Amino acid sequence: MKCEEAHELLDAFHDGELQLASSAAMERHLCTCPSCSATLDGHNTLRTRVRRLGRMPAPAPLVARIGALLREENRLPTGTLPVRSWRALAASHLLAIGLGGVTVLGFVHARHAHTYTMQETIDAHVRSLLDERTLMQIVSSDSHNVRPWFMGKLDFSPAVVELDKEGFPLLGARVDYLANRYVAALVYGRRKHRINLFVSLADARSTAAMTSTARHGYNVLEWQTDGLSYRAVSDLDGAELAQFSELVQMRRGGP
Amino acid sequence: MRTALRKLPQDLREIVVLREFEDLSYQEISEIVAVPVGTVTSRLSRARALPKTLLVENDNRGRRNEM
Repeated sequence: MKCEEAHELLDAFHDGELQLASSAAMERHLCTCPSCSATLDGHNTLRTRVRRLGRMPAPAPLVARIGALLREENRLPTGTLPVRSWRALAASHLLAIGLGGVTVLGFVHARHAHTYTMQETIDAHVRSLLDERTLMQIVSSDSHNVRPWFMGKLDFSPAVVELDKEGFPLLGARVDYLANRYVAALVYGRRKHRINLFVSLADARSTAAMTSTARHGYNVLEWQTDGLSYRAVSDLDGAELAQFSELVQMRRGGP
Repeated sequence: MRTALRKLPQDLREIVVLREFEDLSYQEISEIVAVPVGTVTSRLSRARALPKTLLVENDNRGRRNEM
């Protein structure tokens, strides 16, 4: 890598935004280039001094834009998912709160915790697909078999809806362990795809608004209803998973 | 430093707030500010260059005062 290219990529490297290969090339260059290395040191010094300030008010137009984003989100009908990622949406909430003078630290932690939970949700989905035996502990398309099966296994009773006519047949269920608690995992099909619908007790901090996350080719939709948290995860495209989630909510009486 | 940041043009300052104080990724900043990721990168680069110049000036002034 030459200095010219390194200068172009230095900010992205500093912010951890480079792909692995570019990042490795940059590290090799920095080992041999005092000039670029000094520039990076300058970036680090600047960051330390800026962050030492604590917080800084956002410019008024940014506040206005965030307000507009929030209003736009609130207008979206159920099942119509915003294009923005949940993190960006969370950030807009975060800033709105922060600008009101309330500390944002807790929200930042909650944001990171949410990211971790979403990754765990995808991991649990992938793990369940490794073997049909791990996917379902009860194989049944009858909700009247599946729901009672959870009795004594969980401290709540998940509603189980049948969506065969809509093209999402119920296949079975299992108890899984996710985000430090036992959860109900309802398994649905869509052609050759599988959908895990994880149901657990909702946190007090949870909000009813639906959030969407896409990662590594998987989509996760999350919402809360009646004290329960729902996470639908699949490799189905976002629109079909949104349709599935909307059907579950309609039958359950979603947000 | 706070003064240096306040002197930044508004479009650069909002990127700094989102990146340095809220720790958002380029993609997230791009979605909130509604500009392409490339614009986020270039604005961030410009934003970082300006306070550095001011810092150097301040440091030099500080040194002169000490002499």
